[in-house]
Amino acid sequence: MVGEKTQASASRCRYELSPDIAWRKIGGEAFLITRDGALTHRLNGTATRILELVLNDKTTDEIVATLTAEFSGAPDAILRDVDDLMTEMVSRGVLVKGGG
Amino acid sequence: MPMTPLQAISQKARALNVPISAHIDTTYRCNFICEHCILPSQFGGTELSTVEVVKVLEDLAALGTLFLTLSGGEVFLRKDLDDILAAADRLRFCTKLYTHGNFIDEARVAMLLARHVSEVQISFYSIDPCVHEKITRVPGSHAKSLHAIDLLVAAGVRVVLACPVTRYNFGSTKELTDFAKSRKIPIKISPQIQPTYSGELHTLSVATPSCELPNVYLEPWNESTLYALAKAPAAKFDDSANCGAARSTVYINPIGDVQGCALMGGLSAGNVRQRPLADIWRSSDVLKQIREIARKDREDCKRCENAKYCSFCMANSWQVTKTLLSPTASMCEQSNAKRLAVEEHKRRLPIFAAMADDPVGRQRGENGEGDGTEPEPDL
Repeated sequence: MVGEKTQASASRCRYELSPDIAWRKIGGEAFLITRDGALTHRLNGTATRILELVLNDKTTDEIVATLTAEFSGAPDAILRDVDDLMTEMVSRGVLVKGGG
Repeated sequence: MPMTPLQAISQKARALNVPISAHIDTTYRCNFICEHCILPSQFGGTELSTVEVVKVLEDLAALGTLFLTLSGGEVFLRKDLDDILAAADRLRFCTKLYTHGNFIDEARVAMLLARHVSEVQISFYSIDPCVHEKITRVPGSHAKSLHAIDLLVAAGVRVVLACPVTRYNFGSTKELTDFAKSRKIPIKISPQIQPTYSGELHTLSVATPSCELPNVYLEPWNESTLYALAKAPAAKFDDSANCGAARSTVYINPIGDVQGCALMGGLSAGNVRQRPLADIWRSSDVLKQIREIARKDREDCKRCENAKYCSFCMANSWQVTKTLLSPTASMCEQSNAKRLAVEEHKRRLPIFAAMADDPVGRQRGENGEGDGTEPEPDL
C-alpha cells in the first residue's frame, strides 16, 4: 500500500526544465546544454517527446497516458521508463521538480 | 571515436541547414575608436527596436538556433539590453555577449546572472594600460575592463578574453596569456585583422607586420594549435563546406539585414522588417548560393603548399575581391606564417616534431586543453 501511495504521488509530479539549461529540438532529437557550456546531452526521439510533454506542463501520469496512446505500450512499463528518465534528468540537473 | 553531443549538433545543423548559431549586432554604436575595428565607418538606418529584436529571437528559436551571440558596437549601449536578455533567457538560448566591459558594474553583473548569460567575452588587448589604451583610444578604459573582469569572475560569470594582435600589441601576448591563466580565464588570441564589414581596408594598416607573423604564431598561446596543424592531414578539396556560413550560422545587423556571416557585409539576404526571418533563411538566393560553395570549388588553393595551414574565409574573400572563392593576400600571408611557425617549432623542439609525426600521437593540443586557450566550437 505504501508503495502504491508513493507511486500515485510520484505520478502526479510535474517537472520543469532547470533554468540553467538551454535546448533545441533538431531533426527530431533534443540537444540540451548547460548555459555555462560545460555539459551537453542528446536525447533520443522518445526522451525528446517526454521532454516536450514536461515543457507543456504535463504531470507524470498525463505523460504516461499520452505515451501509452502514442506508442501502444503497457502503462506500467511506460510509467517505469518515464520515472527512470525523470530520475536521471533530475540527477543530471536537467529537470527540477515543479509544483504539484 | 563516438561523436560528442556538440559535434552531433554541429553535424545535424549543417546537414539540415539549421542556423544553430546566430550573431546579432544590436547596435553599431561604440565609445571606443579602435583602428582595427571591423564596423563600417559610415552606417545609417534605424536600429531594430526592442520588439523587433525580440521577434528576431523568437524566429531564431523556431528555426533551431541554440547558440546566440549578442554584440555590437558596444552591446551595453542598448538601453533595452535587459529586455533582450530576458527574451533570450525565456527562449532558452545559450547566450554570450561580446563587450569591452567598460559599462559593467555590480548591477549589470546581477542582470547577467539573472538572465543566465552563458559567457561574456571581453576585448582586452594587453596587461599594459598604455598599450591597451593606444588601441582603444579611450583613457581609463583598461582599468574599467579589468574591473569588469574581476566583478564577473567573482560573481561566477564565465569570462573569455579576446585579443586581436595588431602592430601595437604583438610581442606582448605571453604576458596576457599568463594573466589569463592566473585568473583561470580562457583567452582567444588572433593576429587575423579583417577589413571592415563594408569592405574598407584601412584596418589592415594596423595588422602585425608580415615579417613578424611567424613569431606571433610561435608564441605560447598558439602551442596547441601548432601541434594540431603539424599533425593535420593534407587539406581536402572535396564536397564539404568551407565553413558554417549560411549553413549553420546566421548574422543579423542592427537594422535587420540578414547575412550568412557577420563579415559578409553587402551580401544581404533580406531584411527582417520586410520579410520573415524564416522565409529569408529558407528561400534567399544569396544564402542558397553561399551554401552551394564547397572546398572543391577553390581552384586557386588546390596546389598551394600552405593549404593545410590555411583558414580560408569566404567572407574575407568577399570583402577584398567581391568573390567568395579567391584567396586574399592577407589569408595567404597568415597561412604561410603558420607553416613557417610549425617548421620553426619542429626545428627548435625535436620532441614536438616526433610527436607531430607520430601517426597515433596524443590528443592534446587539438582541443586546446592545458594552455588556457580555447578554440571556437566547430559550429
